[in-house]
Amino acid sequence: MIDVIYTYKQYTESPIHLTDRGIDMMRISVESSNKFHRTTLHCCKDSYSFFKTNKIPFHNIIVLDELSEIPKSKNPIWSYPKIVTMKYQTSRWLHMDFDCVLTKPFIEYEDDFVFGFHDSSLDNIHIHPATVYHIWDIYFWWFFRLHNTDDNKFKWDFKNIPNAGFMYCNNPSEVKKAIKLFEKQIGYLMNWIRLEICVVILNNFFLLSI
Amino acid sequence: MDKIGDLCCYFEQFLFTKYLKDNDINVKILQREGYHNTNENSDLMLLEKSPLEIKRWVDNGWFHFPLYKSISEESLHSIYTYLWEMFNIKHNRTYKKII
Repeated sequence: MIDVIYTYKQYTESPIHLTDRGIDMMRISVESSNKFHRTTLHCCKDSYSFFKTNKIPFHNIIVLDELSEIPKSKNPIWSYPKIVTMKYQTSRWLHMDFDCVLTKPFIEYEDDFVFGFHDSSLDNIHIHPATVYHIWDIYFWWFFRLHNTDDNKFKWDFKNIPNAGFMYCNNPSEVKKAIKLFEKQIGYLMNWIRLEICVVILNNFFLLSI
Repeated sequence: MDKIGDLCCYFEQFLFTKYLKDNDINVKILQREGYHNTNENSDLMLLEKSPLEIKRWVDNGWFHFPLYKSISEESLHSIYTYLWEMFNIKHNRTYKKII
């Protein structure tokens, strides 16, 4: 039986998502997972006491130095800590966000890596305009800023984009290798992203000033 | 500021998935009900009007909850109550929110 794993990185002193409803949902997610699987949280050292104080009932909590070392920020890249957590797994795992709820024991798959649902898909008979706009507004917007190179754009799959709220890994060692390559190759991107965030903030500031 | 949130989606869902595939990792995306972009509006409206429609997601084995979208407190309470009862979770707790 696989473990269900969660990740939390504290980026600010009083995170706005930690409302009563938000913490209630955290508990529903963890307690429902506990019914079927062993649960483990990977967190930074600063957030450890939050989970203990509020009795979010994980079976196990692991403080990861690498999560603690990610700089705090008012404009965090929320997604990166999950990728850090994946690197430390040595056996098959199911990673869930705190707004996902498991309602039955998870039945494993033979595929190396499985996403529980789409973020967006153009692989339907009927395509809602909102889906096209979503792909344009999020994925193309950033694609043209980050990857508008001479690279073969047919390699990029905009047709089916997964949601990372629910991920299963059947091949942790190969995924770990891919993540290390990912980290190596996105080093320059992370610096660029930090710069881009500053530009977005400045743009918003000027728009608000007009 | 929304673009920074969008960047997280781009980074984690799009770019990361590409790297997995480029490294010959077999990636599958399952079709499960629950809130996601392609059904966002219809599901939110449904949950707002009839909160216990969430039951139709429960049988699927898991679901993604639209926690940060606008659902009235009354509807949200009905949904949470259903889940608390389903999993026999004690509630009405007070939390310490400051980390």
